[in-house]
Amino acid sequence: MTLNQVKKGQIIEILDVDDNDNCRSVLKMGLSKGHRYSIEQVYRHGPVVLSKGYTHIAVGYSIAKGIKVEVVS
Amino acid sequence: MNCISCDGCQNTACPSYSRHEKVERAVLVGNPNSGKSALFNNLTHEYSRVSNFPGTTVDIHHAPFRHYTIYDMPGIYSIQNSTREDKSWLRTLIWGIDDSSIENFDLKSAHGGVILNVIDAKTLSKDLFLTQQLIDLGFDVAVIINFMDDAKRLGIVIDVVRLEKIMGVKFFPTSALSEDKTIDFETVIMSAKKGNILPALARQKYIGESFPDKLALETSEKGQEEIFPARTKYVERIAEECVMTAGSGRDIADKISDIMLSPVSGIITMVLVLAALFLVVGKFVAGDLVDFMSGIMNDYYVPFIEKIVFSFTPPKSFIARLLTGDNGILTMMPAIVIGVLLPLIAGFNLFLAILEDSGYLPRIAVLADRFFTKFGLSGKAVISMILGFGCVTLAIISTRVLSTKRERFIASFLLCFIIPCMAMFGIIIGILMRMGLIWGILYFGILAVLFVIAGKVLNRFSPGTREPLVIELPRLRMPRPKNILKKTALEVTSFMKESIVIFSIGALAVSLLDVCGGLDLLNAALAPIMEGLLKLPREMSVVFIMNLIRREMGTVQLLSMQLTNIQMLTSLVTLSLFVPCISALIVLLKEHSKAEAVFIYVVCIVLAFLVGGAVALFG
Repeated sequence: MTLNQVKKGQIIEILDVDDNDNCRSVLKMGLSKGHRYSIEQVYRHGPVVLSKGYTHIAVGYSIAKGIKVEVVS
Repeated sequence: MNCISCDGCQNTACPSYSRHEKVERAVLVGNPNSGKSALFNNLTHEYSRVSNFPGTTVDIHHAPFRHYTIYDMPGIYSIQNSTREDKSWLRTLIWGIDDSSIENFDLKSAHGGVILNVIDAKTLSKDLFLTQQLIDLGFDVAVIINFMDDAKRLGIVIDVVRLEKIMGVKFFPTSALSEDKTIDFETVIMSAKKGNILPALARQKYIGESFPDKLALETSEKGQEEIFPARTKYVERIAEECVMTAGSGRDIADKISDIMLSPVSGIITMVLVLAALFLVVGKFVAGDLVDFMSGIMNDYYVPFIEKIVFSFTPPKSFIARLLTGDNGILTMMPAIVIGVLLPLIAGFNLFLAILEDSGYLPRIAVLADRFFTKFGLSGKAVISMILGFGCVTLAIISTRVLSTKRERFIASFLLCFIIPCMAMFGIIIGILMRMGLIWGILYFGILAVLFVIAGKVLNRFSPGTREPLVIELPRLRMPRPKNILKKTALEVTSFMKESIVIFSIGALAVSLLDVCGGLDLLNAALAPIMEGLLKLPREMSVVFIMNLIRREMGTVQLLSMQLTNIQMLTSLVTLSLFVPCISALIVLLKEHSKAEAVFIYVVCIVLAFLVGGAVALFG
């Protein structure tokens, strides 16, 4: 599944990030393969807010579609 | 003087001494919102704008600290992902050379500059990526761990000794916001040194290569695919080893943040905050405070000046009309600037400063992202739009945080076309308050509809690619009174300085025109637009001309004009849509291509009159 399909409260692991300029911009913030994040908020057709420790990152819908994830719990 | 290795000796043969003499520049580098500007301010006693959202600093500031020059940089996450300009300034500042000679440059002959890497104690596993990258590129680095006060409150303990051992550079814990004075920055600057290279890189023996090669490696595909993930994993492991968190780690700030971000309560919060803004600024500032201040100016100040002027020249004389006439430099100008604008500017800036400092703005950006996507903008543009209600000129500069040229063009257009700046907006709210609720709804309704239409049209026809939202949400913080007051005071002073000069020139020019009959000519020339299209008295021409120079200078004239409600609405809408002031035009020309700037300017004027004409038709 992709990051736009997750639900609030889930913990996900990133499996792959699409290879295009938009998606690459999230890598620098630590959103890369193998990392686990909790989902803080999901907006329908809108951004997804992820968190890890005290880092909170909001990612736009079209980027979220390009990030493959797996729900861990 | 504290040398690191020799306890402050003055022996010129000592390696530390000569090194001390050599270091000239220290550059604050770190992730966005890591507190570089706050540190910069503490160090240099200058003021670089401090807010609680990533991307506050869009320019490089520099100021002296003892015999060094300290540079405050816009925040970056990593070097290969930053723009070309970022790279060239970084190199230039570190080596004090211009960009052209960089290709043949080697790190061995580098001199004069060190990097002070600022990291956030709460988010070490993310922030250390840049630290490690700076080390891998061969810079002399010292690390400042900021926000230690936050970390302490949240039960985060950092093993500094271990960090230093693993990474090979010095770490200095501090809290810039509470103006912690326990570390001596000269010591920090002097301790900057080369650290331990990423093991994956060291194994491949990249160490001996030149700086341009290292930088090229970072930007290459190999860099992105192999070194990048290796570095991320490596620093995450370091953070795991060196950071211990006790307690639940969630506090009241997280709970409020949840409320602000949840789709339903978030929108309610947003509406409440905006309502508070209108109530405070509209009712208290634009109403009561302005009445009070204007009262003092008109009842005491103006008669006082008139008495003095009339004591040496008759009231009808040329000089008396220049000084104390309808647009008199000594009467009208101070009465408006001090009586009306000063309270408005102070009130608005105070409110904005609180919003900026709390960390709420990026949360609005997330909430509004879906809506703004329809206009080809990411939610980040909301921050610029809100700043636009402060000052459109500053807001146009702030669009630099938007990633693509296309987004910046759309945002600048909407700022120039729709958003009225605070000086003007305050006057408008004051007038609307007197006209009644229905007129207020009409005014804001017209602007909102136009915003949506303009946004959709721009999205449809602007060339270029769009870039979706990626934004880090800073922790919410209690705004600090000192920073808010300082920021407000600085904004107000710079506004007053500029405004007094321009107002005086404007008032003088209008008075001169008036006295020699030029005003009638101008009114006659523009009569077809004013009377024919907008159904307004022809004397409105001068309001529009003044609006071109400074928006509030024109709008404030409405206060003394006898207009029907529909005429007033026509004027308010047309003046709001009408192009921003002359300083906004200058910035527009600087930040965009000439063609784009002229396009925005001309289209705004034409559309303003067309929409104004349409409103007048309903009269």
